[in-house]
Amino acid sequence: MRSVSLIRLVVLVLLAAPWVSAPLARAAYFPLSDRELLAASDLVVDAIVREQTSHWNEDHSLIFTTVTLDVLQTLYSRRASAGQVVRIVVLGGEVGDVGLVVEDTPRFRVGERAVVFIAPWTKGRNVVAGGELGWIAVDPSGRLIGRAISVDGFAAHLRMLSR
Amino acid sequence: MFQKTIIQAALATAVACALIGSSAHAYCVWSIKVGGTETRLHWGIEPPATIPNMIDETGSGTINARDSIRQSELKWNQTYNGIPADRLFAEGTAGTGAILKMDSSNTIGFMDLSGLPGYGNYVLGITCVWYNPSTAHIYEFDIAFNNKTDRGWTWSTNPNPSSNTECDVASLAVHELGHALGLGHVAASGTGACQENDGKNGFRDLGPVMQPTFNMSKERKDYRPEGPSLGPEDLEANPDQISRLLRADDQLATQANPDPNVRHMKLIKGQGCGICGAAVPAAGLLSLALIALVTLAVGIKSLMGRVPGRTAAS
Repeated sequence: MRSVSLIRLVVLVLLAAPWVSAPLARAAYFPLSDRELLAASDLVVDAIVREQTSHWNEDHSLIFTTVTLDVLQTLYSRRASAGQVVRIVVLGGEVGDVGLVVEDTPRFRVGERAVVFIAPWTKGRNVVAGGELGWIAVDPSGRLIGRAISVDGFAAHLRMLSR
Repeated sequence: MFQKTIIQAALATAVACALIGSSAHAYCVWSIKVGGTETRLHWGIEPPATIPNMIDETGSGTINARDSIRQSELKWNQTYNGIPADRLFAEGTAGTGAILKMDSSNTIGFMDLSGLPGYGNYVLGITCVWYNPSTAHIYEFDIAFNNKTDRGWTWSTNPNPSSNTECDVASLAVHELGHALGLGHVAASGTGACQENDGKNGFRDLGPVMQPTFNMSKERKDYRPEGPSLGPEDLEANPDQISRLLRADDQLATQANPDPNVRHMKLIKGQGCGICGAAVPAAGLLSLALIALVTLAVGIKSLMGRVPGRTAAS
């Protein structure tokens, strides 16, 4: 009987090991908090990507992509007028036979729905606050992917953080 | 006796799988669609070909950033083939290459990143990878360490920073050089990056190196990957796997993209190594199932042994 108990104990430990060790493996990852993202933004929208166009910057040293977002709802705003269409500029893209990819840059796809943290940039342009952390994809059921929360729930969360 | 052997074998397998599985990390590669096929960004070179680069330490302050970056290159080089003399990254003589500009010069240096869209104080450094959209060949890479004046931290060559306002150049350089090879971030879910420990692990130890943990925030207590320093053992010490990253004709990234409209860069989870991949959880589950069955059998046998008249144990 003692050997049976020992085997049971070992089985339990083995079953528990992956669950216990998984969070430890991620312990080194410290993303920007939602509060930090909000502080870096003046607009947060739930939007769908309508189109994106890549182009060289003014001195032809880098490729930028201008992404047009159709706003479904504004989740947070410190702007006088949020508007129904927002254009944001991200680093990277493809122009002709040259492509540029940069880490930390959110990657959009046409038709995709996402919650986007937006901040003002130069010349009246907008950028994504917090790089790739400032873009959270939304699934067809209206839940933020990887967050287990609905867009409406996230909006309430942001309102609480902004108080 | 037979039962004991089975239990021992199953236990050993399960323990091995649990250990490998729990310590494994995923890796991610950047890929684009070329002719309808998802193709990994790659340099298209074979050993002993090297990736030349220039290090411009202007703007790094008083530290010896050049030596730190050289150390980081050496770590990748040692991982590449175990022989530092046959280099993956090879520093050339100082030249006129510009940082973050496509000019046929792979340049590593320091600059204020606040002029870039969305890059502020929280970014320590970035890597630009230039490629040919028609072939997925990488043309060039540039790495910039952020030296924005009010960035809130200092660059250091101390591998064990004493505070969270000190950042070790060498540690960040190892991470950025991974991007230069076409590797993306490994991160928690919901960030746009790949997730680690997803059951499709290739380069076992690239997870810590390629986590985007260097995005500093004021509240953050630790911006370093696991451990105080990164050595060759922190990467995958298998020369073949690193060289596979550089080649085109490899099945490291062949996952089909179901969305034909996707033109932007896609991150694909690694699936290159059987022992660290899906085979591990499968074998682990089988072993556990076997253990459970044997345990059940032993239990039943033990109970039956208590039935009067069946056992003569005394």
